[in-house]
Amino acid sequence: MLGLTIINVEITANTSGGVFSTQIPFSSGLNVIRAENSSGKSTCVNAIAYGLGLEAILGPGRKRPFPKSLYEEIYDNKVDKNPYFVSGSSVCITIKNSKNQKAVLTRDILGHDNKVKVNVKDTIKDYFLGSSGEVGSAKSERGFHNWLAEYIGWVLPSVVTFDGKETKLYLETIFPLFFIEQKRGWSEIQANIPTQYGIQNVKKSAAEYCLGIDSFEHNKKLSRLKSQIDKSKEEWGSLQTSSEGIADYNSVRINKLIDIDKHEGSQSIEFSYLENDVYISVEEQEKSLNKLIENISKEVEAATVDNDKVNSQLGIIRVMRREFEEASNSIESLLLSVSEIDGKLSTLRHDFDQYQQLRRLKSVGSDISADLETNKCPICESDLFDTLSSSTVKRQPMTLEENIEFLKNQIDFFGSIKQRSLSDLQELQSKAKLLRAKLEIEQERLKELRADQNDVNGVARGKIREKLVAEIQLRNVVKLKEIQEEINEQAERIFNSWKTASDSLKLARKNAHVADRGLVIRKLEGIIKANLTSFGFNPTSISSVSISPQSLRPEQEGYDIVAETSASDYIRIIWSYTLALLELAGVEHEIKHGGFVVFDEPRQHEASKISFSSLIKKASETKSFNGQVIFATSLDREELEKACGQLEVNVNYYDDYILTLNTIENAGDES
Amino acid sequence: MQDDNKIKAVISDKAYPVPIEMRPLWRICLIVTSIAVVSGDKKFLDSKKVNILVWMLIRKKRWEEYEKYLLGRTNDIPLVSVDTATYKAVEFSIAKGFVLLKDGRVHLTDSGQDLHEILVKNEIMQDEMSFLHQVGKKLTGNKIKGLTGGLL
Repeated sequence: MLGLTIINVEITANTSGGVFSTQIPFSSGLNVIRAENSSGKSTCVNAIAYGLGLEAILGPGRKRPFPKSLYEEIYDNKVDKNPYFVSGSSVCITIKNSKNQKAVLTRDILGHDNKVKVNVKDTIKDYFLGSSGEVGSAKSERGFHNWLAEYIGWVLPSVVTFDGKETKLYLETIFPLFFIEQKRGWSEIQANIPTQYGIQNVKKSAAEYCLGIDSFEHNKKLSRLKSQIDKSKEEWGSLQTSSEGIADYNSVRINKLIDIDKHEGSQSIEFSYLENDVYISVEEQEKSLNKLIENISKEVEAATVDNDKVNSQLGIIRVMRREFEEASNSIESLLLSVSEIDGKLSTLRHDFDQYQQLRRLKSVGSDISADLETNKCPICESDLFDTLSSSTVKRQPMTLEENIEFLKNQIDFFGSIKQRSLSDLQELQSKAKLLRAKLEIEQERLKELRADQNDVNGVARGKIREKLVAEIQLRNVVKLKEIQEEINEQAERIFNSWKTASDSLKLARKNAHVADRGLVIRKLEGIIKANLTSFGFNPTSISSVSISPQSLRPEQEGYDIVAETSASDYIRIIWSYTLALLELAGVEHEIKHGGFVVFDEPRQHEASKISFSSLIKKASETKSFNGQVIFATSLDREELEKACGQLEVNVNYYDDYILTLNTIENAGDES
Repeated sequence: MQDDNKIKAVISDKAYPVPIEMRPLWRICLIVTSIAVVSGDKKFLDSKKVNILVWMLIRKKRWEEYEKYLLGRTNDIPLVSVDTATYKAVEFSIAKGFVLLKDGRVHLTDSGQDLHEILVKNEIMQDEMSFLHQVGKKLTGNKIKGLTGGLL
């Protein structure tokens, strides 16, 4: 498919002395701009690239692709020495696409050169060139290259840069296939392809895109798969390191992990504990710990103390203590009673003694016996009871003898009570002694029971501690098991990812050449060989010329054609290749071509006149498929006219500077 | 309550025992001995002193307490009060002729002296006499005032 047709190119320079301009109409087929050297031919053809925002294809001087006549000063003719100072200059090109949609593109040369004014059906829009912020002209909606690609009907593919990033295959990388500028263009096919974008295999990529056999998606896929494989390997390495770290931290052994690409099938990570010189798995360790905890629980239950014995012994001791206390109280009370009896007895004995003294007095006091009688009042001789107490009843006190007898009886009575009390006391004391002895025995027994209890508790405590340790271990084991499962899930995921990517990569590599690129290459090769024959290429060498399936460029017996051919033959190769691409695109819809070919000074290195005539002829034939070829040449007018002969060629002759004052009237003759 | 534990009240006019100090002769002997031992050759004592000495003599269990006070070993004043039985006994003694009451003093008569000697000879009231010998003379007017508060 042919992308564009150039309809008209207009270059304008505003100067202090007026407007210099030129307007060159183009048609399909061959268009020739003939002028002497330094007249502005290259300016005219370069204006096409510039107007399309593709000055990058003009080589290193692309930032200022025009002579100073469009920037600084311009002369009316080659004889005139009076310069006109340029205040502004611009290019305006009229193009149409494969849908016959016209567009007028205007771009300043001196002025705002980073925008292109696009007029489609009288709708004018400005588009920027270069980059605006982070998004470039090819990607932004308001980017001119984005507009141009869309206008041509191309969907530019994404390609991989040397940094591994994706970027678009820029228009500047494709158009060097169609635009052969004068200075560097004839040195090599795609001589002026810009490399600053860092696109991998940029020349091949551009040719592939043009020939419709692009493997961009394939390459991208390969790159993506490789990156996926690398990522998987990296993840596998991290997993190895982290697993080893976990094993170290938990003091367990880990099975040796082999690199992901050196192992058949997925590898699982297994931690193992060293128990009695044998390595056991996490699962086995968990089982064995569970069993151990169960056994310890049983032992702890068995070792639980029977408190009933102790409680019963405490009950016995309590009863005995109460009995002992009761006995003690009774003893106390008896002792008190005995003491009271003693007091009473003492008083009685004292009284008894005094009464006996009184009786003795009475018995010995015969001398004064009469005076000692107290039965009658010594004053009134009335009866007197033998007492000093006041008596209100007529009840007599005991006589002396009676009182003595009474006291004796009292002494005997209390004496017997005392005796009985002492006997009771003795009995009670014996009982208390016995109780105390028994109590001591029972207390001793309690002590023993408690000691037993402590022993049992000690055993239980040890067991519980053991259980606790086992439970902590189990918790760690369960945690490690979970980690192991998690790691294995990750390992499987990584392996699957690697395996899928790896298998896909192998398959993709195997299928790399399946596309019918061979057919396209053969067609291209056929046209090139036919062209070479027409252009007088060394006939013996034509058969050895082929298109490299790798580089998609002509080669000779597998070697670079530049080294093997003469300069003029190499020019022919470039003519053939460039025109072959145009021809192929004219007939094959899949081939994406800019639609026009520009040769600036195609008769470089003095290619023979016959060859040049053949070139003119071949180029003029492109009209048959609406192809467009634009030559800029300084060939003699006569020679050119002769070469063109009866051919349908649009030739613009200029005898002086192409840009002139009052341009329209001074436009070149058209043949 | 069981029948065995029932107490039956019995009213009887049976002779009752009398403490020795309430026997007139015993108290007369105490009065005579007090004067004989404590007064020395004077053979008479203030009636208050007689009263107090008899009060003390018939309370043998408190002799230690009285002794401490009379010897000035304590400032605690023992209880001493009016004992009408002693007044009666003094009157008895006067009627029997063992003592005389003169100028508020109780004088020992010869008969009283004889009675005292019989007591000594027959080793009667030896404890009482020993007490009187030991502390009897310490019962001064001041001590009597301290004991009675000047009421007696």
